[in-house]
Amino acid sequence: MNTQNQKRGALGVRSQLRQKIGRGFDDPVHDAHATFRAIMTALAEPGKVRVTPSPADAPAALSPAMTAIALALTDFETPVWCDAGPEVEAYIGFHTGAPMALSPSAAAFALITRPERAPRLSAFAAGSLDFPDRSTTIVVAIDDIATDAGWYLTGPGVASARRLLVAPLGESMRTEILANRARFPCGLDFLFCRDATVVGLPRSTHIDQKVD
Amino acid sequence: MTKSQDDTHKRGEAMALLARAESSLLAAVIERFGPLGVGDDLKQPECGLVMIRGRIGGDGAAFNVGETTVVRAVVRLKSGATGYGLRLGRDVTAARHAAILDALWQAPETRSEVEATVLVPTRCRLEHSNKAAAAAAASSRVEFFTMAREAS
Repeated sequence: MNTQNQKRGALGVRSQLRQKIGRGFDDPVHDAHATFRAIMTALAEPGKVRVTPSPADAPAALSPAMTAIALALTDFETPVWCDAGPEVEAYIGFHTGAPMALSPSAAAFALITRPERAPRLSAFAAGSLDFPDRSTTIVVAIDDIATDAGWYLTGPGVASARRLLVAPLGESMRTEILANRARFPCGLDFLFCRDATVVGLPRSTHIDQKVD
Repeated sequence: MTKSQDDTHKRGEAMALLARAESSLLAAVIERFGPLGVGDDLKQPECGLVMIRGRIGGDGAAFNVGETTVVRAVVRLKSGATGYGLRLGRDVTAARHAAILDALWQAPETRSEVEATVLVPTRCRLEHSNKAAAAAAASSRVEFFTMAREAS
């Protein structure tokens, strides 16, 4: 009985949230393709800034790029961990059918809007040696992206060295991102988002704080 | 049955009828309602495939029967009511009309009109065609009697 009451309460809240849900992509097929291509090339060439389509009616807590990524990549088989609140959860659930991950380690995608207050990255799935693909893709909202300062990136997809500064990140997240490469082939892939731009940082990229 | 469960059940029935209503009827009724305050096409009408699942005898293990074409649409009226339309086939306009009528059905002031103009005629038509099909099948009915082999 009690669970039934809770369920009904949840349904009431859900119908309230549904009244606020915005539209998804204006042109679902082509916008999703363009987003996918932006993400793919962002991960193929780490540190290069790519532009994604901007869903006009995105929830306020998510940047256009994060919304586009969520709309293009998530579906009913990809649990999403999200720190942006019930409105965003309702939006993603409605448009993509993605369930919310009960714990960070169960998430296929993590949408982090407040990197300073995010859980430790070690809480997310890094895959196993047998299945390194079973890891969480971390989508992080940041305020600043610069490609003429910060880290030196080398590795697959980087011809010589490329520079990348993403800020602000919490101190612990910074440290954990720097340690990410050491876990290869396990590890996390990152997509840093600001407005309608995205920069990829896959687990294969070496990060140096300064040139030797 | 509690009130909210009852409402959900009734809405399910209404949506099922909207899914089977003839598209010309839906269009005519939408026209009748005149200018509608459609706020947003939350999900633009779109066509896709869904997997139909079945159970042999109604209670065996579930298996995939095959895929079928469906159209779906979700609209939100200016009043805030969200309507869902899901129909077999590829008639995207009809799916949007069904979604609008689902939203109108949810509003107490328009429910009875939707009931009278779409749901009742559709229910009658389906009952009639079901009866006709049942009668046609019954005329050629053959009863089989079998004896089960004893387990050895």
